[in-house]
Amino acid sequence: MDDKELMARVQKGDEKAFAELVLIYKDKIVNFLWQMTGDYQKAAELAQETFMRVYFKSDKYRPVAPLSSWIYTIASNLAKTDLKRQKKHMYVSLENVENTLSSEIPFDKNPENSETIKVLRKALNSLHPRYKIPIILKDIEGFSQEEIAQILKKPLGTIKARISRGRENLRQELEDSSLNM
Amino acid sequence: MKDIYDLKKLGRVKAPPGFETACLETLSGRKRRHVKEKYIRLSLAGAFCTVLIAALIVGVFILPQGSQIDLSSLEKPADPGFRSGFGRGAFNIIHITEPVGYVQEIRNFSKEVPTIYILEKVSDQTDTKIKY
Repeated sequence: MDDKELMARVQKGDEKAFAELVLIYKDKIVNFLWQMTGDYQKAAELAQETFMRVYFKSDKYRPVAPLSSWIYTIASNLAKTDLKRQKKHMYVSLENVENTLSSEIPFDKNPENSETIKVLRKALNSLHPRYKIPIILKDIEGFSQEEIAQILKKPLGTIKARISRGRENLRQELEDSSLNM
Repeated sequence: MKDIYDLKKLGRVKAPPGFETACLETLSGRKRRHVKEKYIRLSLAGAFCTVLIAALIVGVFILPQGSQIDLSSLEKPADPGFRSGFGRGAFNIIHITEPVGYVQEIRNFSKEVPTIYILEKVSDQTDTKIKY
């Protein structure tokens, strides 16, 4: 069953179709949200909220864009809201917290043990969400720039500029880190 | 630097075990809550409409209509020089309405000889025809 048929059934309230949808997209969405927030527990909660919105707002989906773009749009909006809320209320250094929890996180591949990976993770987390989201969608999730423009509802030129600027910032951050090492 | 920049080296995580089951449970809970909220909203709307209709019925049909105030029945102050205590601007009661006995007027009219009024154009010219 393709995405369009699946979504058509979800729109009619079919819970089995919804369960199938969750099965297809759960790992991708949880991973994306983890890359965004750096907190696995939070990523799982936000992923659940994403799927709830997919179900209850299914009537708003139009098959013009791919279903994956629509789901990622919801997920990225939730991640952005959460990041804003975090910034407002409290700043907690996640470095030590991540180190203790990394053993509990079910990694699909490349568990983050090496120092290089940790440096890369730190550099990515230092990016502003404006650049971080397109970078994650492009370089980690593998979306094209056009798809990212659809997901984030921004012009293609803006997305290209943000990806370019984000990569530049990332390189700068990594250079600074390698100099400090 | 090219090597370190490769973000694909970063770890990828999976959803926690039992994620789908948790999603379906949350979904059932939210569906029940939605139905409850819908009933509460409908009940509140119904209650509001009932109160509104009741207020209209009471206001229009049950409460006594306000009587017209007949200003002519207001008593004149006994002392024409009465001062209400508001200083030099004394209030005199002015009769706005005056009862007219139409019956009397009609009776008087019927007894009188009818008078015919001729409207004539006043003109210097003598050969102008008079129109009635």
